[in-house]
Amino acid sequence: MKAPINWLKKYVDIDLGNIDDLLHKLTLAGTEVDSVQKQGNWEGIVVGEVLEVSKHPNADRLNLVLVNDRGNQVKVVCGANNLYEKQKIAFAPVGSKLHSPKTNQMEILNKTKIRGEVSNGMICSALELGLGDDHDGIMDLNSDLKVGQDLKEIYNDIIIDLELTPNRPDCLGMYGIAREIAALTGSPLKENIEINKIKGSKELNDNLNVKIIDSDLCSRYMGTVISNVKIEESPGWLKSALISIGENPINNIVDITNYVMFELGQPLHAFDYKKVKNGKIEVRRAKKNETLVTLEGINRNLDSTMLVIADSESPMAVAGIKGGIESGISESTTSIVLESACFEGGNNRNTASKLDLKSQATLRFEKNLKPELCEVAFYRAIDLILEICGGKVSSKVEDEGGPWKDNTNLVISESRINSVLGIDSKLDIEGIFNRLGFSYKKDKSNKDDDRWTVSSPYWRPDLNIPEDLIEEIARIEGYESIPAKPLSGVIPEFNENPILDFYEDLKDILVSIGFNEVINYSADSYENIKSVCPSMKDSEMIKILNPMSREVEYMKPTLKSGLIKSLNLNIRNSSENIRLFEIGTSFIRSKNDDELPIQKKLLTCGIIGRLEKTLWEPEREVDIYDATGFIGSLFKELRIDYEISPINDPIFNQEKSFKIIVDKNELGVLGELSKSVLNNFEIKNQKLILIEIDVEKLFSKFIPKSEIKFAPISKYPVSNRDISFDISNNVTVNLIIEKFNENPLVLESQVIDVYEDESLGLGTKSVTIRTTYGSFEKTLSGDEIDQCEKNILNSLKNKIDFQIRS
Amino acid sequence: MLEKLKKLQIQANLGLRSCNSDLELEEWKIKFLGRKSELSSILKDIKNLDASIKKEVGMLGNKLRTELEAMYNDHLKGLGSGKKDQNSKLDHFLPGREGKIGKLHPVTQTLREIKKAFSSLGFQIAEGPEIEWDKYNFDMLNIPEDHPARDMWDTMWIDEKVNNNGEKMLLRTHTSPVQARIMKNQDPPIRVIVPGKCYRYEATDSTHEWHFYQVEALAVDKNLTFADLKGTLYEFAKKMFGSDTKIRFRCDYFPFVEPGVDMSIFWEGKWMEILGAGMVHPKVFEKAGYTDPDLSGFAFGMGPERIAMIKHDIDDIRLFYSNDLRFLNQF
Repeated sequence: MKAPINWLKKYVDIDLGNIDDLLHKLTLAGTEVDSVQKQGNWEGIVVGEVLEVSKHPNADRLNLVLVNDRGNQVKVVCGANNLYEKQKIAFAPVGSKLHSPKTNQMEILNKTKIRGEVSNGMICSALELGLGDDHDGIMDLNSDLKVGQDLKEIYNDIIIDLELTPNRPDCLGMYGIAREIAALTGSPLKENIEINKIKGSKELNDNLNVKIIDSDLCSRYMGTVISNVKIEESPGWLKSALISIGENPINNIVDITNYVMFELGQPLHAFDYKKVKNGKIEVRRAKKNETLVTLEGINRNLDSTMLVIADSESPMAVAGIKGGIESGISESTTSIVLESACFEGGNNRNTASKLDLKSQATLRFEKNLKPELCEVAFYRAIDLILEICGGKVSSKVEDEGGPWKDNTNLVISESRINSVLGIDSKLDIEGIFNRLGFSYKKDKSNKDDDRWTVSSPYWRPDLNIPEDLIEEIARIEGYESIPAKPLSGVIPEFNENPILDFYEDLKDILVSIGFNEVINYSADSYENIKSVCPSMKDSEMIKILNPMSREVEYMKPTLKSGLIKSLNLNIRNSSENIRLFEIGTSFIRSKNDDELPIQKKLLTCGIIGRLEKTLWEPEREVDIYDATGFIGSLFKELRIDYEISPINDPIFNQEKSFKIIVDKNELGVLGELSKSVLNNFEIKNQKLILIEIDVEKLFSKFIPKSEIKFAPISKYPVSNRDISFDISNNVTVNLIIEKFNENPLVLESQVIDVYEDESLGLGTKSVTIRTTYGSFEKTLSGDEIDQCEKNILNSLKNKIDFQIRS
Repeated sequence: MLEKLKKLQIQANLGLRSCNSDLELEEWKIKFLGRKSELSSILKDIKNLDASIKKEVGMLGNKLRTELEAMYNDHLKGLGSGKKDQNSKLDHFLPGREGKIGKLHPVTQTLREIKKAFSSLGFQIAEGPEIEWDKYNFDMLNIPEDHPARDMWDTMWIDEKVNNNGEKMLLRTHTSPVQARIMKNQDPPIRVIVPGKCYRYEATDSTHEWHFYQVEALAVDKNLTFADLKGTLYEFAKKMFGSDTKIRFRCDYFPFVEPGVDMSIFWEGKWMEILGAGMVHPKVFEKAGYTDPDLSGFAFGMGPERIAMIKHDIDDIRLFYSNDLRFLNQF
């Protein structure tokens, strides 16, 4: 909301020397000041006059304009389409300075040649002068301005831009902002917007009949006919006021209704009385198939939830949203119907969003304005119309609706205020109420506890419960004056939620073994999800109705696609291999529509990239053993016994995809991504290993540290022995390792070398096993270990064929 | 035989130069001076040698042994004291064999800091669903349909129409619905913080993401006051940003609190908004079924990205979910 200081100063004194202090106060009290802009960010711009407009010989969209620049005739090239002869314009002659938003600096205007024609200056738009957002045409200045006048004499305002919260429709009007300033600074409101009942003619020749049919959507409707008005350009002060808040002046009647809306926060509307058939106005829901061409010339289909203002035949306006073009004010209008009404907020809001017509009126009506406000604005507008447009009130004033609750009486006691705020000092409650303009009654029945009945004023529909008054008191007193106390009360019983700790423990483990954490968007494109979940049915996927883009249209049922993208992004910037993980939520639609989707936490890890040669390590490809090794470390740290067994998952390469099994439950998968999936993600010449684990299942299997029981440590030294086996390629090494591990003297047994070579013969591999022997009772002798080894080999002979190499 | 000894001398010299660790040095010692070393076996076999060379071999062999032992001791000293021996060519500027350590995402790091700050005040952690019913996201929080305050949360919807229970599915726009869920299932006193992902239909720029984290907090007890809220947030801000942090409270509006607060800290010459807060609105208690009139509470919510951005001078929120390691590895 733009609030020009000059406009505010009509109602309240503002100390310009101390303006920062005022803006700070406004911000602290809830009306945040977004920015402050001083008009006049230019040098040497003057009022000019258009003398002649002709087409540019070489460009269809450009004009050649002859301008009266301080008495001299100069030629300029201008692209605007709202030029006319004798028009007063803001003219920037050669040598003047304008603020450039591009460089954020003042730039000198030079003589230029545009399509072969010399331009000796520029005719400015409101946007170019920082006076508004309008760049559709040049600024149409008031015709009574003098050529050559410095534009700074006309535009010298300070505009504050306020970020309003939706509970304060009163500040959607300058008078309301002034009222807020008065409450904060203590300086009184100068002009009282009183209700001036109608003065003037008693000859009421015109007929107006208002009927509210759907009273649930309209609590009050005031209307009257004003005849013999002259539709013309608004006076300078009115145009300047509208321009200063970035609004385009249109004609005096429309400008006045706009002005009063921006002054008091009450939207108004004016109809051409001649177009109101039979002088009848009905406030009703639209009928089936009714349509209305609104002011911007669009034919709108109305439905029966929408409230319209109709004459005896058809809708003339969508109530409180937009007028119709047919009944609108035109140059030929001589009599008008002025409307000031109170429409129900929710319905107004819904209709505006259905029609995609979020107007300044809806911005206010949706906040459930009070019916009393209609009357204030109604008479204020009549005063201005009679003063500016002439004419007289020529029908009786129709005032339909009600009875509405006059005001909301809120009861608040001093003890309640103190107990909510946590203070024990005595505040000047009545002083605050007075500053805010609240009327109240003090209840003297309880001497120890003052109690007030406050009627919330017509401009504050947001005050509905006693706590709302407490906020008013606190914000006017200042939040900083309320003490900060250490949190009192009982610390609640500890409510264990160990899985949340588990997520964090898991992250720590992953980081400790060299994985970087990423967090991806929770949504992805249909194609990407399908690529990593080829068997997923569309009906299981969760589509966002209004996604940010097609790239993030579906909630992800797996984290795989996101991780693949992260891996691919980073391998481009890296010479090393990349190891990433993410713990996040996956989403799968529930079979029952009345249930939320299945939202499961997954752990997904990925490795991409060749391991390049370093000083210490040779170069090699990343492969599936990077994944199985990682799973080994992770599960060991979580104290889970697991197996992996081959599966056939089309997203992985055949023979390089496995599931992870614990107690016959599948916990996850791992594999090397297939070429076709890599292609889908445009990954070339890289191997990508992916692991995905159901974190909740993992949690259910893991043994927390708290359950660990100490196992005694042997005080005798251990011995290591290596043996190499020649075995068939079809034999898996776990068969040998298991045999070793069965022996009670074996502490640990691991593969330290595998190789295949022609010299071994076809289909044979050589495996070297290193075994650690030890005992709790004594140091094992060489003979004892020999014997032990012999027993193991004997029992292994029954299981597999092998040769020992010496 | 004499040639053999000469060769050994050269080998031993070369071998020692590449010894950069105690372990390698010990291996060298075993190889050249150990019981099974070539030198040992030469000296052992001297008695079987032809008398003509016996003496010379014995002398040279023993000399070599003394020399090698001295070299070993010198090198050991050199390694131990860090003093460079003439023979040692250790270049400590060569890269070491590194153990890779990964990094937590900066949002995780910030969330941990926030959780730590609040857990010392007796707050526990809870989570809730990211795809949520409009009932919890809005209605239970005193944000009825048609209410203009709904504009504060541009929503991404999953369902077009209400289901049999009159509910519509959406992507939660804040973590506040978990407040409603907790109050529905738990009796006071409550002190809980709720971290989690949220989603808003909002054009992205350097300060806005449609996908972000939030931390919600709720405390409910008898007679909690605005002063308690202030005290709690002061404590938090000091833990998070340093004990001399300047803090500002200003009036703000959120439909589920009254009075409403916006807290800012003074950071590098500017007031920076950190969180929104307030006393729990009576309507929220009413909808949660909390009827005890002595109950009161406060709630607040903040964005960990914003906090991380302020602390680390990050100028674009979109970096957090770009997952570029050149960004992530800085934290």
